Amino acid sequence: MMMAAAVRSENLRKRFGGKPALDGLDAYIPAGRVTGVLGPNGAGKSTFFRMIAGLIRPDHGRLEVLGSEPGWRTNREIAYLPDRARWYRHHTVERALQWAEHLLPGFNRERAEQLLALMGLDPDMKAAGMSRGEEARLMLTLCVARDVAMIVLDEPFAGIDVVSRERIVSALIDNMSDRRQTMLISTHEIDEAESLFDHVVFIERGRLKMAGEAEALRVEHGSMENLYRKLYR
Amino acid sequence: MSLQAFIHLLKHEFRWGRNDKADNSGNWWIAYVAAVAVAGFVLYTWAVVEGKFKPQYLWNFVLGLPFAIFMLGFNMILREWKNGTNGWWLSLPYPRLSLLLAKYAAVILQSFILITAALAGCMLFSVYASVLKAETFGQEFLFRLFQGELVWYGLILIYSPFMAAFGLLTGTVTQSRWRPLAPLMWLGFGISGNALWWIAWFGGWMESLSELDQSGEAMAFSLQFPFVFLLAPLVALSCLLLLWSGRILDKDLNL
Amino acid sequence: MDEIRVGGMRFALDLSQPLYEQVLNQVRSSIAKGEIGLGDKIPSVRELAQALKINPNTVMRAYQELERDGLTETRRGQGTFITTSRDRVETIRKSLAEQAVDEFLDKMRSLGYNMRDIQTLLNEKGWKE
Repeated sequence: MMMAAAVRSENLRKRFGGKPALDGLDAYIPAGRVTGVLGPNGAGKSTFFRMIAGLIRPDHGRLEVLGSEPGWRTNREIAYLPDRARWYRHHTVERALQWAEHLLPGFNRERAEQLLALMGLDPDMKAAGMSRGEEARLMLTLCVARDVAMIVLDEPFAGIDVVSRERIVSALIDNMSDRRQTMLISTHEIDEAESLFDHVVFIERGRLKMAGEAEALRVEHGSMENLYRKLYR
Repeated sequence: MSLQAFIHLLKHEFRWGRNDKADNSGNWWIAYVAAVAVAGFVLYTWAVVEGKFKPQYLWNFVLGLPFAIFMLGFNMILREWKNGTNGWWLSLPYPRLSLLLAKYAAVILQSFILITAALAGCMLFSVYASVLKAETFGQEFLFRLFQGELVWYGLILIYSPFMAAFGLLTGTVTQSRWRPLAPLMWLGFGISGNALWWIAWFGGWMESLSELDQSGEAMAFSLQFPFVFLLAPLVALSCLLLLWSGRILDKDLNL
Repeated sequence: MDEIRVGGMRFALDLSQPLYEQVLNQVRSSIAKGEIGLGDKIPSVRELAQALKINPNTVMRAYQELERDGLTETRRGQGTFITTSRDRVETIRKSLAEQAVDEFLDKMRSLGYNMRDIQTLLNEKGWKE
């Protein structure tokens, strides 16, 4: 039985300067669940996510996000953490909250403040003076504190310290406990996050390699990390 | 996009240069700026008293402002990429053109402040010269100078929206698959940034402004020149450039 | 596999096995072993998910299964509690014991032991009432 799809792509293709980033990707992301999009660097995960967030358009193929073509309109219902994103250097945490309040539909200030406390961030801290981990926690807070249909996090654990990762995982679990949002997380560091996934999608060279329910795949292949090693050996 | 959201975005975009320091401990360079300013002031005083510099020469610098306005626009786009915030900017749930218009409005406001400050500065220095050397730069002189300056001020104001739009477009082009056009855009930057000099040069007005001749030729020229009629085509051109930038942001980005 | 203690219960999750079954079995055995007493409150879904760093849906499914078995009951606004019925817990304990014996016997049979051999071995090990 297929559940309602939050994202569905058919034969999705995108080239950059002649090099294919997506090469006929067929993917299905179930609604209301946590899906891990896994694959090595350069597999096309970020290109796929940027397409979902409407930053780039496919050369060929079809992409349906929350039932429509992705673009700025669908972004009202999507909280997107861009790959390798930084925050505005001159903003304090408070200023960032104001930015989000004014510009991001569904931004829940109260929830953001709770999350910031959990993240150990102070309203007066300036982004320019933060460590990479603190900055990542701020950006994650801005995404997760939104009452939207879907949260899309591109490599939220890349290049940050262990404490920050743990706090981010903890914030994500908190969020999942409170609401049934579709959550899409890409990562190439699987052990951090694999216990969070309901569903996993493995991508390689711009194509779908394997997909399924995490628990069912565990019966057959063991841990996701194990499966990942098998697939990309 | 609601008006409130637009205004917030405009305020967010409206900031000068690199306000990205963790604290204020790294502001030692202000000392150097201050030193240069003091030296400039002393030099100006000396040159005016010695008759080597006339206050109207200051307009040679002001006429270079279109270059600065272009760069304001260009950096407005580029800093999103340099600071790694482009993903946040572009995924905002508003039409790309309105995101662009917020930046455009911020640049226009900044240009207005910049140009007005330049005018005020020139006037202040002229008055100072008049104090230093009343026999050469008397009230009559100041009156004529201010008249000429105000006309030029108006001209730069009319011209700046175009330079701002051109700067935004160039910034956008460098981040898109249109990038091969960038050298041409920079060539256009060199030419269009100089436009006011061209006008002044071919109109022979630069000279008359510098000399501020008694015949009042400068004023005559500036009134003859159909500046106001420049406005409509410049605005139309700016709109086209903005629409093109918006389209590039929509479809042709290299991300 | 690190052992994690949550409200008296002990968990050790192995990511190469389905997590739902592990959570379910480990709560069951905690109850059977008496690590958590009759009528005690068990951690909320959020607490357990946080402690184990797993998807709350997984915990929720396990909790629903426990409730269906009658091992826990949810009181509105108060949380989830272990049943106060000694019989139910005893049933679970018995079934876990049977399961353990079955596994043991399977293994012994596969090693070629018959019932008498097994009993002799148990006696040698000093396993007597």
